[in-house]
Amino acid sequence: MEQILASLRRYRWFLLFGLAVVIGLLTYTGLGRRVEQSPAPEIPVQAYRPARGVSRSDEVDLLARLVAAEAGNEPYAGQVAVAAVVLNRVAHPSFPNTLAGVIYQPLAFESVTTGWIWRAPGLVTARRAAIDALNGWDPTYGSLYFWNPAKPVNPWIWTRQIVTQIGRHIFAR
Amino acid sequence: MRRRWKLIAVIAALVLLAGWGFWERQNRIAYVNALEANAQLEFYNVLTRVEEAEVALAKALVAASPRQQVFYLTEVWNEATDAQDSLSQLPIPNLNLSATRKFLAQLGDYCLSLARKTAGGGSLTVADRNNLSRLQAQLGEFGRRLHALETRLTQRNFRWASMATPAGRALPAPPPRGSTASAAVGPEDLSDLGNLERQIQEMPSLTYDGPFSDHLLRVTPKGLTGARIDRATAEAKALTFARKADLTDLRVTAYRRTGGPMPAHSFVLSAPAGGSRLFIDVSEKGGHIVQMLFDRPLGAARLDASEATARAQAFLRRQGFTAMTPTYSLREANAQTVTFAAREGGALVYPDLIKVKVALDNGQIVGWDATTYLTNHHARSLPRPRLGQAAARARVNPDLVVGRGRLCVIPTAGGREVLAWEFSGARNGDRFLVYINALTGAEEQILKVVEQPGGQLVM
Repeated sequence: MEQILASLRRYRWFLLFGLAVVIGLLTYTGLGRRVEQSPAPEIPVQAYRPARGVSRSDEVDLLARLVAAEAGNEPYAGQVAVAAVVLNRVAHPSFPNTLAGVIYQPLAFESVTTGWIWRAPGLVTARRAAIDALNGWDPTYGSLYFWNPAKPVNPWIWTRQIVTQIGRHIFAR
Repeated sequence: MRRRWKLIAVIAALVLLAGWGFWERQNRIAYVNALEANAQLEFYNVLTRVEEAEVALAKALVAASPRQQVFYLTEVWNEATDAQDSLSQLPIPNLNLSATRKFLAQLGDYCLSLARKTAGGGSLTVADRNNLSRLQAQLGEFGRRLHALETRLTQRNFRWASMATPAGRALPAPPPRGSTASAAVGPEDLSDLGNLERQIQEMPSLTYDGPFSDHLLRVTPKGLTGARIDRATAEAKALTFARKADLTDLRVTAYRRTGGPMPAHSFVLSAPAGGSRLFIDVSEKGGHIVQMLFDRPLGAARLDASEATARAQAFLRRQGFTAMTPTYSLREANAQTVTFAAREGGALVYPDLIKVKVALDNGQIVGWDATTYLTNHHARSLPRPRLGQAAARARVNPDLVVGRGRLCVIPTAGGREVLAWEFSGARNGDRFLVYINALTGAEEQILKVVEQPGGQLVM
């Protein structure tokens, strides 16, 4: 006991410093970090209408977030293309048949795994891109996959039929 | 004394740190458990749904009356769709189950189309019965494999959460007492699913009247007419198109070739000063403008929907599309997107659609999409309607207050085309479009019109 106390005393400054570094690091990475809030998307206030419960604003919100997170730095056509891939998946039998099902499918989109989808900026442009895709624009002609060839990807993905490249993303069916 | 205080401070800090670490670990265990419970729920859902689908399919094949057949076939659709949904939500890395998921979705869709056919007075053909028997055998095999997998995963104490996140991976579960589980539990435990996937890939394709039918997954465009054009011709066409859309002073800044079902020369046009870009695809075959988008930020709206529609129609006419009728229109983010349908022999042809996007600040055409038109347009020899408008109207639900009808061609879910009378009706303030087959009098489809600020959606 005496020996432990003695060595503790001897290295007290080192220990205190180490402790400060550890606490500082942990605080930075997790504890004290506030979840950044992106501005709430504008939803137009509407008067009561007979058609109940059907609106597209929820789809625009969902899609815009994914587009901002996955393709925020891409050219506009590249953003529309990513939104179109999501919608092509909804319509395809190999994927979930709802928008949320496709977007939150486990391991499907990196930005969902990392949480970037809830923090990504650039929602204004992404919303316009999402709306164009919902209105039917599809620069990828039915593509179901997109990836950035500069990043490590599953080699299987290269077996797909490549349709086009827009910005940094390759799109394939 | 001072030294002792310092020592106490250090020890207190260490205790706090240990406590905090413990608390974080408890948190993580709770999260991983929640994730695991959710994944297990989905896995057992797949298992149950696949078994129930197989049972329902067996009953459908045994049922003698159309009433029971419709009931069981609809149940197969319900169970199979649910199974596909749950299978999609399982975290399975490095294993692509596209064919398995497609098998479930297509099976459900096929059974639904047969149920619809049977409910409409049709009956199951020999081919249908053979298909159903084959699908039932495959479903049974699927169920057996899932059961074997379940047994092994339980024995080996497999954790789905370890597939989903690094946090889950770092938290190996202790083997339950008395089990002989080996330490190595990993994605290879799921190889059964991979084997099943390969087996399903070998299955013959399925063609029927539904949206997931194999013939719809590889359509060849009918409207791409004309000779192949080279890049220079395509570039000239793209620039002419932009000029006619009031988008002047643009030059080509990028080019790429787009593959897929409608191979195209793709150009990016920009103003010399930089800034906004215009993306345009000119088809290699025939040099049609397939689609165009201009990403200019749009100012406050000065035009209303009808002015925008008039501009879009005038632009279409300049492009040589003289027989197009505006159908629905949607205003979003200071742009009006107007959808036009082709007209042929007095009927509106809904499969042949062109969308034109008009900027509401200055009336420029900032978007064009003729993909649907170029996919579907062809010379049609429309039959004469056997049902007059009055006879068709009599078939609409009497609860609807019905306006004028018009003749149109509508696409079915399976990609066929049907000549129909379209009636716009209202009930309790809700608007509907009802389609009555002009040859058989069958009620083909009902669409609900949803009023949006600045336009309508049809669902």
